[in-house]
Amino acid sequence: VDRRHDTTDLESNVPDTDDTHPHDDVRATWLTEILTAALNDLSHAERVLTAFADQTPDGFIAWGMAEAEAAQAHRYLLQAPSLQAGASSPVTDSSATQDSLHELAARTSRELVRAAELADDPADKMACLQAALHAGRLRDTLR
Amino acid sequence: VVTFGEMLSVADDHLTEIKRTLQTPDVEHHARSPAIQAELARFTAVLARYSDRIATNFDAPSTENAETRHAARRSGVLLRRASQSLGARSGAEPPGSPLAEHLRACSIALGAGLDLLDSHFSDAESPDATVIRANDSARDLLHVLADHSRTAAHLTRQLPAPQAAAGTLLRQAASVAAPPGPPYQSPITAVPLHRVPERIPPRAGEDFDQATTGLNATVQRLGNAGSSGTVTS
Repeated sequence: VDRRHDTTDLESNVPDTDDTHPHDDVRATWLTEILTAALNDLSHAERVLTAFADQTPDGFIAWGMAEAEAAQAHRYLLQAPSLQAGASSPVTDSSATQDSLHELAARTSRELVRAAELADDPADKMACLQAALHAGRLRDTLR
Repeated sequence: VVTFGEMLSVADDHLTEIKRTLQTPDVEHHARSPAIQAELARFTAVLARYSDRIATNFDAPSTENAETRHAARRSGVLLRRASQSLGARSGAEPPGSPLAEHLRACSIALGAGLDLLDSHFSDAESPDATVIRANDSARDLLHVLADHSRTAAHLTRQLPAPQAAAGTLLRQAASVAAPPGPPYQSPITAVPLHRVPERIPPRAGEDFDQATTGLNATVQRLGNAGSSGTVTS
């Protein structure tokens, strides 16, 4: 059985021997965009959570776990080769609520799993799946 | 460079999150969305792909290790039937819930891992091909598949009746791939220090302990007959 003809095998990412198609470029650009957006979201979340943790004497007990998950997700995502250096544009807005951060984490983990699916480079897949894991834990922590 | 172990490890991390959801009281609510059924169908199809590759020894059928290959073949048949009875597989649409995300992540990580292994057999075989085809590797992989199949079986049991039947197939696939029993240990964990003791010649007036110690030393020396001087001196 030639597995390459099984169109339902979406997991298969054996490199295509054909020339690169125009839509591969589109996909690569889209991947970089989605990873950059996720990275910005995660660093925003990390910064806000650090501020929350510093606000009150027991702030770290309330927010430390979430802060750590955001930091881990951020760090893993930085390993993705498709993230171009310096692509990140830090958000200056530091206003956020637990609800908005929960929403941010849910969106980020969902987008990262999709990105993992469309990435061709195993290192991109790896970074997305690890970052998604921690973004998911961030979401659960903020529930 | 990403290794197969790292891919397995990230799949295992997401599997752990799925297992955690299975422990929560509202698991039924999480599992009963149509998205979960499609994710399970896809996840099970990936597991079947692994079984099939192990069964054919990555396209190098041989008569060796027939037991392992047979287990892989049977588990592959059961997994494919389970996948079919779960219905349509999920595609590129965004995963519909946190649980669906973890299932999708597992499918992607395992799928990418298998592609990584397959890359060693395209065109000229790589030096790692031997490791991938080794019987111990096949058995290790079957244990990983069994763990994933069992978790999928638990989840499937929460689905409505027609699809829940796939749970039985998944459980059977897991038992075939890795029979339940004492925790699996890779053969390498049983390797002791390799040392050939000095000979202790018998002496007049030895007590029982001294005599058996000497005998044991000789037995160990005979067991290493290959090393120089163990038998003759």
